[in-house]
Amino acid sequence: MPIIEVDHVNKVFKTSVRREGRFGTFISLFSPVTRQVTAVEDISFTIEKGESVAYLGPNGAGKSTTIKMLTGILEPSGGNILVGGGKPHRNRIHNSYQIGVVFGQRSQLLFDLPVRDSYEMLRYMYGIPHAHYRKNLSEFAAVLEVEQLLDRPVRTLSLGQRMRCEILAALLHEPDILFLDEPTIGLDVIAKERIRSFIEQINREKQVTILLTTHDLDDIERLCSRLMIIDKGNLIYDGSLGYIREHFATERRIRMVMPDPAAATVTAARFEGNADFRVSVQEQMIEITYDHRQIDTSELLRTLLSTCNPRDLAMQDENIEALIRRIYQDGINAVHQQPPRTAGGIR
Amino acid sequence: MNLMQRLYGLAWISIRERLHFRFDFFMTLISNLMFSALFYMVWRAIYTYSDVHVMSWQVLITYVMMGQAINFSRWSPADRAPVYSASTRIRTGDIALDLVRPIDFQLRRFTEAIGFFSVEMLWVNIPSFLLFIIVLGITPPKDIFSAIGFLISLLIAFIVSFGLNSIVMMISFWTTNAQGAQIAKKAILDILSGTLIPFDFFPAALKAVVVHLPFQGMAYIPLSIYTGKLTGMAMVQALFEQLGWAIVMLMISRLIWMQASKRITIYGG
Amino acid sequence: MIAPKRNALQQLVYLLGLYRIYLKIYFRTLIEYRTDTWVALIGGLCAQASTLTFLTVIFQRIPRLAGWSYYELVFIFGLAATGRALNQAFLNVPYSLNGYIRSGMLDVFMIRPVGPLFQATGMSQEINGVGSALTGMVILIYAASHLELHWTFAKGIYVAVALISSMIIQLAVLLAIVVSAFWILEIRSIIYPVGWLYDFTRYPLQIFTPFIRGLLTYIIPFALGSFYPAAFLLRPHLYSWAGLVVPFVAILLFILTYNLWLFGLRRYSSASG
Repeated sequence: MPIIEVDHVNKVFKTSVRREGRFGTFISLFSPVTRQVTAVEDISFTIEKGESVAYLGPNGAGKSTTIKMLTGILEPSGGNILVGGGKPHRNRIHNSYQIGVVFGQRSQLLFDLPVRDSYEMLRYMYGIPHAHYRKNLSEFAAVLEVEQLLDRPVRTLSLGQRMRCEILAALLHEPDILFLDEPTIGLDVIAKERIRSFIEQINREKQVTILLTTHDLDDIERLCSRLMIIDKGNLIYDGSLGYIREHFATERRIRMVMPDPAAATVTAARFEGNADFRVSVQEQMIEITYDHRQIDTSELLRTLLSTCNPRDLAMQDENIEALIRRIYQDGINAVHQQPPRTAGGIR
Repeated sequence: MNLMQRLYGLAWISIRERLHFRFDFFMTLISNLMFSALFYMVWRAIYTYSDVHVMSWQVLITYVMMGQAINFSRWSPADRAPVYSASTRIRTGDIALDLVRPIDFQLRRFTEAIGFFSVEMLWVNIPSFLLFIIVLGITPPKDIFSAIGFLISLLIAFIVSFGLNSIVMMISFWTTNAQGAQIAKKAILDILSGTLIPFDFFPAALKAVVVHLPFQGMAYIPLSIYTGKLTGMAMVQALFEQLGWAIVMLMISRLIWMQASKRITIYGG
Repeated sequence: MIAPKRNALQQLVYLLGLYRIYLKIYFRTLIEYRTDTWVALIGGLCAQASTLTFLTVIFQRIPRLAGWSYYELVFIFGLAATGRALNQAFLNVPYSLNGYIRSGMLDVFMIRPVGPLFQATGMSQEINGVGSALTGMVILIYAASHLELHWTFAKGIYVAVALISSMIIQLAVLLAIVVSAFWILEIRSIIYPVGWLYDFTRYPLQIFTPFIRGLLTYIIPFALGSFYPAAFLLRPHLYSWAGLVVPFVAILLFILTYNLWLFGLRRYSSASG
């Protein structure tokens, strides 16, 4: 049985609009104007125990709304959500024991006090047996390298240190599922790496199911076998990152540096007539962009090298981040004309 | 642009900003009227049940209600907002940015205070004043000299109040609990400025103390001028005394500010 | 982990233990910010001292006010002020709740295994109130020592019951306003003036107009947590009804407001953003 089941879920918000004009505030007091906003529209997916899933989408796409529904903070307007077999918003207390949540923007920790005090509070709150608490704390603190931080007030911690302490706080009660909302936002490379390797480890060793939202593709590459993309409330992709790279990142780029790029332009002209084929010259550098499914790379290279003598040559696939940005902007169909027949592709 | 124009611009921006607080000010007006009603009823009960009167009912109620109309110890956004914003800026370290601005920090706060004071006059003080005259029948100033003296005294009272608020604001440099300092300030002002009770009701010992404190400049002096207790030379003398306190308060707040800004430069906020 | 099962009594013990932890946390914060703590305590002391000066200066000139002697007035004032201060010290949550909602802390509370209102209450202690509560109790004891009240154990218990009822009545009224902000956004500024209305009930209600009296007894029943219990202790034969009505109304209001809160929270889950 899947640990998370989301079945045709909708979420509609009513926001009240403030009336304009001098007495707007007072009139709104008695007859508020409301507007309906659909944050999530007909989303369905399931996550198995032990999976590690990334949830991706531009700001305001509905990522946080989905997480809030899975954690029981929000109630779906339509459809059904089951987490560990129960409805999260119906039995929030039951749900709280099986989930751990790390919000990137808000803290579970007590700002003015040593980190340990927050953990003690959570220990009592969840009723964690002392032995378990001591074992979990020492084990996680060692892996996250926060042992030295436990007696420091939270406000004196750096963002990266605080985030590691937050993750520890979310795991003290040994949840089955860990939700992470932007866990690496604003961190430096080393701090990001520490957090990633820890998440990877608990996913692998403790079979903790991971659902994380992020903007950082390295997070996904490192941690998640599965990627879901949400845009304007709709789930537009559910599959692997490799699949996106293989099938969507069709653009390839060759750069050559040579004293006389004009000669190469003539050679390259043979391949023109192809819609996606572009050549641009900048001083001593020539850049050729093409669709690697339509033009055979080795043939192109052979032809180019037979006539030119480049000092330097570099080849590059389309940047995956740029690709995903393109998916957000133009919709998935503009990026990929023919939907693949493979399972787990485009919805 | 010369300095005066720039200051005028700043004050105007701050007035417009404060209009966003209008619901807050509206609530201040409501609560002001509420408290005025409370004190009216309390005093009426006192005058009904006792016959030892320090002053006539009409003079007393005029004093007390005017005290509520021009109250400088009110829990109003004009008092709270600048102190809170300063203490927030200190906590976040943004205060360091204020130091590099071309216009002096305190001068900026002063224009801000003028903005607040103007809006509070418009939204709270003048409506309360008019209501008290119409509904409660309090006495208008006896003659034109009292009226002018009262207005001058009110302006000086604003400066004294600014000085005091400045000092309370500076306390934020040593503590992050601006609210505690404000509660203490309000409590002290209620009594020692003569806002709630005219000094004439005080026991002699207490009265001897309060007439030598700066707080009288924020209520007792303007209200005594309004009710006609201070006239002629006595009035002029009281105005000078009040002005003296205004200058002293400004100087103290300036000194504390200099200490505080030294602290910012050393510790980086 | 699996949620532990607790019966009603175990749950009560659990919650009391949790509140004790919150108090410990708050106490540690106070030590962490020592200057702030002093400023806050002094603020609270000043506030009570100021009102007491007011009371002393004006009431010492009159032998009786609406049939109440000076010490009786001080007693009424002391009980009311202590109730207010205790409310501020331990149940200050209506004033902080809106901030928790706006900063997203409510979401954090909602993913934990304890009711969000309880957590918000636990995080909302206010030391200003402790200063005021101490002063209030000193005032109360001072007045009581000058009155011949014939103290019995039952009367002592009743003072405690009255103070707790006072705290709960204030909490219920103010919380109802904050919860209404789930529907009517602008209403939250009203919490301050309504809170201040309580100050009226530090005086004998007889000095007010019938409108104010009715307002404070039936609509916003602050007087049931201040003037009436004090009057019951001073004149048991005249105010005998207050003995049971006060705690009863407190419990009733608490149940009503708690349900309103649950209703508001459901609204937060289902409609807000």
